[in-house]
Amino acid sequence: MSEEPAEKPAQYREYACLYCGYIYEEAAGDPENGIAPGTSWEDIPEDWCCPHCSADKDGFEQA
Amino acid sequence: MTSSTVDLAKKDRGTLFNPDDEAKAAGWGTLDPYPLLEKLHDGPPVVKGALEDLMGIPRQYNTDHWDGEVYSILSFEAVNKAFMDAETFSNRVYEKLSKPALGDTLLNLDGGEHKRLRNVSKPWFKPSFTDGWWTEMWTVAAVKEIFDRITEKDHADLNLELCAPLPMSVVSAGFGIPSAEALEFRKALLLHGAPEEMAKGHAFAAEMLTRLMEERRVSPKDDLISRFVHADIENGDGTLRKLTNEEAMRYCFLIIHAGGGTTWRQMGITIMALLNHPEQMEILRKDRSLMRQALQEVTRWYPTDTAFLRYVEKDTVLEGVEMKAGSVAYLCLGTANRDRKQWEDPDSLNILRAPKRHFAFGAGAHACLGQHLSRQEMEVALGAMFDRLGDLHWDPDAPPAVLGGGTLIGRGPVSLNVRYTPLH
Repeated sequence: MSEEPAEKPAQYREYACLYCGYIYEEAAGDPENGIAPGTSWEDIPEDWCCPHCSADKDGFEQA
Repeated sequence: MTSSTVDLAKKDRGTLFNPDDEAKAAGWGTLDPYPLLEKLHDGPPVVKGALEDLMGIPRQYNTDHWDGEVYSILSFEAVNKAFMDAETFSNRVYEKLSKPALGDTLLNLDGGEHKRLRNVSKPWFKPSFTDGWWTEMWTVAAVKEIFDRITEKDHADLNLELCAPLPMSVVSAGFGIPSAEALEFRKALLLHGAPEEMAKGHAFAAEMLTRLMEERRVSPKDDLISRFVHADIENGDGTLRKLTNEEAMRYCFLIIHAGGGTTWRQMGITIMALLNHPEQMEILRKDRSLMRQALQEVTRWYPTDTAFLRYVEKDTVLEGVEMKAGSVAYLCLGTANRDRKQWEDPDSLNILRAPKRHFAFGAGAHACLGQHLSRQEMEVALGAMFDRLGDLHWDPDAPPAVLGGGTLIGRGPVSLNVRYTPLH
C-alpha cells in the first residue's frame, strides 16, 4: 500500500470500531499499518485490522 | 484434531471456579453492584472520590499506593474519553496491581513499549485467526467433548461443567500446555491468597513454562508457546530481536490467566441471563444469526468487571472536573454501559437491540487482546448448548443461580444448575 495520499474524496468519513472505539479517519489513514492518508474505507484491504483490538473491517461502523 | 478437556466435576478444584470464594480470598465484598450504582446515574459524569465510597461499600481496589486524589468517571462519554486518551489516563496504575505478581506485561506498560509488545501477539488474536485456528483446532473439539460428557445425564452445573473447563482447556491447548497439567497450571497462577502460596504457585508455573519453551525452541509445534519463543519484537529504534524467555513467560502468564478467568465468568453470566429470559433464549435458539449481537448485549448489560483503574499522567479537565497529575481514576463500566443517554431502558436485557459499542472488554489501546477469542468460544458453546440440551431449564431441586464475585471485580455465577433432555 502506497504511503502517498490517495485521490481526495469529496468528503472524508470516519469509521468506529465496534469493539474498542478506535476511529479510522479517512483523512488521516493509518500510515503505521500501510494505509496512506486519504484512503477511502472501501479501498482499505480486507486483511487490514483495527490497530487497537485487531477487529476485522466488518467490526466497524460509520461514525 | 482431538482434545482433552478437564472434567472439573471429578477434580479437586480447591477454591477455583467459584467467584464468591475468589472474592473472599481477596477480601472483597460480593454485593451486586447495580442497585448501588443506580443513584449515580442522576449525578455528574465525573465525581471526586473512590467508586466504592460512592457506592457505600468497603474498598476493593487499593488506591492508597498512590499519593494523589481519586476520581470516579461514570458516564459513557467520560469513560470513553478516558479510555481513548491513554497518554493522560495510563495503565501505570497496574505497576502496583499486577506487576508485583506478573512483572512487566501488556497490563502495566503504555505508549510505544506497550504497542511493540502487543504487536507480537496481535495476529494470533484477530477475528480471522480466532475463527480459524483457535476455533477449528481447539474450541470445536473441546465443546464437543464437554457436551458429550454433559449429555450422559439429564442435569448439570453448567458453571463447573462448561463455563469453567472450556476456556481453560482451549487456552491451555492453544498454548501447548498438556491437558493433564492445565488445572494445576491454572491453580498455580491464581493471584489471590497468602504471598508465600502465590510465590510457590508462580514458581511452579514458571518451571512448567520454561520446560515447554525449551522444548518448543528446539522442536516447534503448532501452538502459541512455539510462536512466542520464535517471535520477533521491534526495538524502539525499529530493529528486531527475539523475545527473551522472561518476556515470553510473562506474556504467557498474562494471557493464560486472563483467558481462563474472564471468559469463564462472562459465559456463566450469559447463560444465566438467557435462562432468566427464556423468551429471549428461544429467539436466539431459533435464529443463530443473532448470536453476535446477543453477546454484545449481555456483555453490555452485565460485564464481569464493573470498573477499571487508570493513572492520571498529567493535569487535565474531564467533563469540567479538574484532575491533577498523580491522581487515580475509576472508569466505571457499570454506569457507562447503562448510560441513560446512550440506551433506552438500559437496565433491561434485550438481545434484539442494535449492536452498539460499550466497555465490557475495555477500549482504546488497552482493549482486551483476547476479546474476539472470548466471543468466539461463547458463540460455539451457546450453539452447542442449544443443539445438545433440549428443554433446557433451571433445576427446580437445586440451589438457584446467583451472581457472585467481587462487587467491582470478577463477577459471575457460583453455579448454574440446569435440567434438560440430552440430544446426541
